[in-house]
Amino acid sequence: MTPILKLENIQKSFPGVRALHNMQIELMPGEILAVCGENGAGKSTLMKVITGVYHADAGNIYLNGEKITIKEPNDAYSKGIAIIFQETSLFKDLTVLENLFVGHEPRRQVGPFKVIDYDLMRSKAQEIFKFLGVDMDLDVIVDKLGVASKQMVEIAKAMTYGAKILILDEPTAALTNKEVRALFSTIARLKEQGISMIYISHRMEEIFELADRVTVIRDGEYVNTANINEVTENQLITWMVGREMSNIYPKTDLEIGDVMFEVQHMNRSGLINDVSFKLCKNEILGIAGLAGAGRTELAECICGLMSKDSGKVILNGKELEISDYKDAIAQGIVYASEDRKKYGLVIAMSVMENTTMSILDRISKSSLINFGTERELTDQYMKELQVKAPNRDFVVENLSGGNQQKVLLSKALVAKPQVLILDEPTRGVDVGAKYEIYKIIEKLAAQGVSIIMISSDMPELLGMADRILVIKAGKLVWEVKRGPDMTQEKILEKAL
Amino acid sequence: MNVIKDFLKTREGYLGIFCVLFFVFLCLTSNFGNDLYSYFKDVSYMIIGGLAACLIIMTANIDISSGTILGIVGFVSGSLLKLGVPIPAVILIAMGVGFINAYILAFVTIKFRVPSMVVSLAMIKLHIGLFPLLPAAGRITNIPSDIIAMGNIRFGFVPLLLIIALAILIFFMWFMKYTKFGRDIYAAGGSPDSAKLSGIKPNKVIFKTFLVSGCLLGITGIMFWLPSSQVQPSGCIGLEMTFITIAVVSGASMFGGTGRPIGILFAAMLVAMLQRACILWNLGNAWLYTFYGIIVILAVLSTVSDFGELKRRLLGVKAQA
Repeated sequence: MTPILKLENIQKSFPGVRALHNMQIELMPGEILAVCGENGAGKSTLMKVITGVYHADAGNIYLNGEKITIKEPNDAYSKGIAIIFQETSLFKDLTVLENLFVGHEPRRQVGPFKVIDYDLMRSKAQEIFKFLGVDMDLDVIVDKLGVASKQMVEIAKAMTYGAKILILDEPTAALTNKEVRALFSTIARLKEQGISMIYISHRMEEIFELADRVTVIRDGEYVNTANINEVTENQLITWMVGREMSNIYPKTDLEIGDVMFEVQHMNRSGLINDVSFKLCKNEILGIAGLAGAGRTELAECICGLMSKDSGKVILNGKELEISDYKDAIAQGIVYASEDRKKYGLVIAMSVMENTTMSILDRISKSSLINFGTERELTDQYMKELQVKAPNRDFVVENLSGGNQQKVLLSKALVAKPQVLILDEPTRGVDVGAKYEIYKIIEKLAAQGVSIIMISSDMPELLGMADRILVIKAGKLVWEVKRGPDMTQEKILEKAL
Repeated sequence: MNVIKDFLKTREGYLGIFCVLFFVFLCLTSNFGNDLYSYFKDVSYMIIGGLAACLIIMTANIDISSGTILGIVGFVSGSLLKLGVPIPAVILIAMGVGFINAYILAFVTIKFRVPSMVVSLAMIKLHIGLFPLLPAAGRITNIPSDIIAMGNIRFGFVPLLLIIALAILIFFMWFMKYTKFGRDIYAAGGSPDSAKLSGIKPNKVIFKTFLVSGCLLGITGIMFWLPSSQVQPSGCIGLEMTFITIAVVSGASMFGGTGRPIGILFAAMLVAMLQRACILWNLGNAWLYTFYGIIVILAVLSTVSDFGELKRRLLGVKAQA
């Protein structure tokens, strides 16, 4: 059988960086091919070559056995190749119907004018959504839709071009479990109709559930391809990182100290409902729950980022007065946000400026910044956390995701926290960098910092936490200590 | 030496080199060099006005009423000077006028979350409506000649005003780099959400920045009017665009969070030179605006496109040879 899409010997360099080298990929008609690799392995570059955003320096692309060139994204569309990006590219002020046909609206002749044929658009759109098995109001403004629905609109939009090859780039990153199920059933329908798909994901369980075959790439080079039922998760990880990874959670059995931090009867109408818990020295406390259960809001209430209706925060036996986040930092409670680009770092500023941003008070004398101390602290944390940046004045925007996360961690650590709240500390970070972040967390716990870790990555919570709280609809529903009861099934059961 | 070398590699460095080349060119091709005094007088108020605009732009806001407020400052301070109020007091009152104006602008912008563009547009209309800013109105003549002389103190071709303006600019270069408040402006302008998560209150920082900018506009007003023999408030309508041009050329991004005061110096020199050049070459205002347009586009292009890449391409051949 000829592959519907075949790339061979693809080379692509950027000034100073070799992004792709001897890259190859083969997509069979009607199959789902997973492509996985660490962040920076070249997945995005490869997809951009396929969709005509970048031009390969060398190499051939074959469509149905015929050699083609893809000059620009529209070229890819017209050849039936469509990509669904992580961030949707929809026009948020237009309706679903208008979005589907932006740029290629069907038109009809009225006198001397060609006008948009809404009736034809509508009937085509209905047909497509029926084909996808999705109920969708065509006249709703896209901005009002949830992430999952937006994604469906994206897929439908690809279908309006008559796409035969669909590339899905981390489609489940922002979805709840239920939405993921809905997406998967749509993917299954598409597959039945003979659409070939390239599926990019970090999440192993998704790859094993969906894909027929999997291709692993590393450092811009092709590593291996295997049928999904002939390979194990460990095997894939080994291919991805290029070395054996026996246990990615560097958990050691630490002696857990006395209670040092306590939250009592935290309330915030509609979001948090009477949550109380204690936290000990050296302890890593995991907080599990579904998206929207109120985990982030709980953290924000503790740190004064969101005003609480009632509730006490007690550190070392003393009740803290926290009216805004500045008070929290001053008293040793530090929060590292889940969305590092939006809420954690100012990406146009340098590594140093970001690192010290929240502690300028401490290293300034009568509002004058002490540059010596600032440089020293930055260098210290860059070294400690192995931030890979050319120098401390390097702009954060140009760092990789894992390194940005490390800068965010430096920013939290430089504040010398007694209680560190980490919200999704490894989101969007590759396997290797994840391991390093876990090591840092473990080291901090050993140094006597109490850590609250909010995460949707269940294996990560199970691997790192000494104790897990399960939050559901703003309520604390279950608490479990490390032991036989702490399993993914039980936690999910309570969280749902 | 290394500091200078590094500086010349930055965007501001290129701007500086271009500025100096253009300066030399003008001196050689026209009698520009004969009246450097009035050129530097223009540069003085443009530096401070540009700085005021730049601070606002760094917070991702814009103030298009910075021209008309100068008219009010001129009207108020001119009247007071005629009454015999001493100059230091007049300067303070002028800064107060700018302060109050900025307070209203910042209050409405931040409290009610109205884009500052719209608020300052309304402010322009208020300025013109409430104060005698229409042509031929509010003119103040017969200002005592000793006061006019004070505005024209000079050391060779260097006006005292330029020295003051440079002193203020140097203060701000230091202020933006070495103080916490300076750093906070970059953070609050670059990403208010991230600033919040660093214990910075972005709205408070932005509010204060507006106030500082207002005071600077008061000083700009004094610098603009003091050396001239009469105040004609309508004359400064349109200056806001000059100031915004200077801020943009200096490298401040409209999205906030970037901008360096050193760039203001060269941008003000460049804009004032264009003004002079159009007079010297008898080109008229139409050409002046055309040149403004071209340098703004070039300046914006140099901030959005990869400047390092362009440099490599320009210098690349030389490096290989």
